[in-house]
Amino acid sequence: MSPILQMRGVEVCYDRAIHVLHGLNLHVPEKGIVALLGPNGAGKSTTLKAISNLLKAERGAVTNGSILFEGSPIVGKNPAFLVRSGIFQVMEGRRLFTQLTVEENLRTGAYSRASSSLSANLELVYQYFPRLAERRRQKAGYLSGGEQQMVAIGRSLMAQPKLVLLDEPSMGLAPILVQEIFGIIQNLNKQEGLSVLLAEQNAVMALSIVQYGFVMDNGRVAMEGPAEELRRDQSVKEFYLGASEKGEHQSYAAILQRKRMAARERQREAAGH
Amino acid sequence: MNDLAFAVELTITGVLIGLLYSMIALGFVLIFKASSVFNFAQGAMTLFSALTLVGLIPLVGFWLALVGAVLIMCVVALVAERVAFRPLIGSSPLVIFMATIGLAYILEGFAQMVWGTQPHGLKLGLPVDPLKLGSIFISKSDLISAGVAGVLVALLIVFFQYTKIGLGLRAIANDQIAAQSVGIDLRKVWAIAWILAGFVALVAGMLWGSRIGVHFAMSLIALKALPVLIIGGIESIPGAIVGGIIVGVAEALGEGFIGPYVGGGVQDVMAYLVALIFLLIRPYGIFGQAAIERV
Ligand SMILES: Nc1ncnc2c1ncn2[C@@H]1O[C@H](COP(=O)(O)OP(=O)(O)OP(=O)(O)O)[C@@H](O)[C@H]1O
Ligand SMILES: [Mg+2]
Repeated sequence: MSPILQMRGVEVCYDRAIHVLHGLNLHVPEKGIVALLGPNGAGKSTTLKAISNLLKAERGAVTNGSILFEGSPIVGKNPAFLVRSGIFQVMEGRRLFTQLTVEENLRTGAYSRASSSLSANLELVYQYFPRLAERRRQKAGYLSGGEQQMVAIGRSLMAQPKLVLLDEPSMGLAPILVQEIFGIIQNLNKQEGLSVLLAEQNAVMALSIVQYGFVMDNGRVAMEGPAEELRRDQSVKEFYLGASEKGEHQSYAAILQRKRMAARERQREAAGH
Repeated sequence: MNDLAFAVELTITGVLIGLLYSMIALGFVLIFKASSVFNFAQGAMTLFSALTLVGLIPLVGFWLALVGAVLIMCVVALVAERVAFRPLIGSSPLVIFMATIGLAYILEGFAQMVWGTQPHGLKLGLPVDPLKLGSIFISKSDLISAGVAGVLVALLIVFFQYTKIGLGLRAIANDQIAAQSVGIDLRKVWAIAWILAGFVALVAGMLWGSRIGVHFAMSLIALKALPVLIIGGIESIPGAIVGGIIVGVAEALGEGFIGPYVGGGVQDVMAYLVALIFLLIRPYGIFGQAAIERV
């Protein structure tokens, strides 16, 4: 399948001085669902903001590389234009409009769309999240964390996107709610044909619903592969899932060391071909 | 005349003048909602628009002059947004505030250059005789001015609450980056907020100009908006109305009842006195929104 999103050698800088992404390569297939994993500060959110061009508000900029959406370059495009083109980011921490009602929040999602499709889209969102229908007139700031995440995802659906960028939707939610939300994300991918790029620290959950994953470390993709492969991979397990086969605690540095050696080996193999 | 009738008359006058204060405050509220910035140039915009109107009236007559002033304020707003504020997206509010100071000086200088520095009268042809209700006298021109202000405010509230751009403005006021993430075009919404602020400045300049004449002290009227904003809350349209009315009534009653004992001049102090009290008991104003914190 041809990719809906392709990032090649992307570098991002904050304040013209702080280099955060160092040549990132990543792709999302059309109608695919892909995870972007990595520890705190790896650069997951930065990657998503580079795609949706929300870096400027934080004085960040893409300084090198290319980002293609449906084959066309999108670096530097106005965020509103990108939403209209079909890219929608659900930001980390949900970022609802706390002073607006649930339904008003959903309507902001449709800002880039003609108002004729508004009520049909609202119906669709309420179908996926019946709980929101009951709370439609409530101020979003007073919802529970899980309900807020539902509004955030529902708001993205209102824009009829082709690709959603989800930034840690599991953050701060109870495991059962995470399961519910991830189930819905999976359904949206299957039923609505939505392409999904899912940034997560919760690697176990993420790898259970995606087809493919990229593991980031320090502004680069350290590893990538089909979900089952990553699930089985020992260093991913140890690093991100916190489980070691011997059952003993491994230091962060030791895991990194092994990972680097493995990466070098792979490089040597690749060079050998 | 008995004290009660006097008090009623003062209160009514206070409400009417208060609505004119609200008009000035409204311009600040609009820009603050859209960009979380205190627009230092609002007073200068008021002066500039009034001078433009007064300057155009002898050339083309009132109605064409009004249309012309509206168009010119649109251009000013768009140019200000494009040249000064769009490049500053993501800058700290302080930087943008300084840009509004710059804009204020440019507007005042430009107005001076084009229309000169002498004061002008502005005759709107409002009736000068008062309306008599029993023993109470009310200025008809104040009544009409307040009516115009009231209609404008009502339109703005409807605009904010029930239109798509109004929704966008409220979203931006709540979380600017999130607003960008959902596809609200900051540049478009800002441009519209500036146009609205320019329009409000024009109406305020026109109504105030007909009361006190059009001259450079007009940009100081903006100072009257400060206590109004403190009392009502800087991001609330109803707050601007209620705050304006409170200031107007406090001034009128203070001047009428306390003034005679202290030799007048109470009027100018009252607004700040009331604002001070509000700062102590409700620092974000009557309608100001305390942030909803819940994660
Ligand atoms: N506005 C900013 N200015 C300067 N540095 C920043 C800025 N935003 C992020 N960074 C830095 O960039 C790096 C990557 O941050 P980013 O938020 O992309 O990580 P992340 O993978 O999303 O982490 P988390 O899992 O904690 O959300 C971090 O080292 C962070 O300190
Ligand atoms: Mg992050």
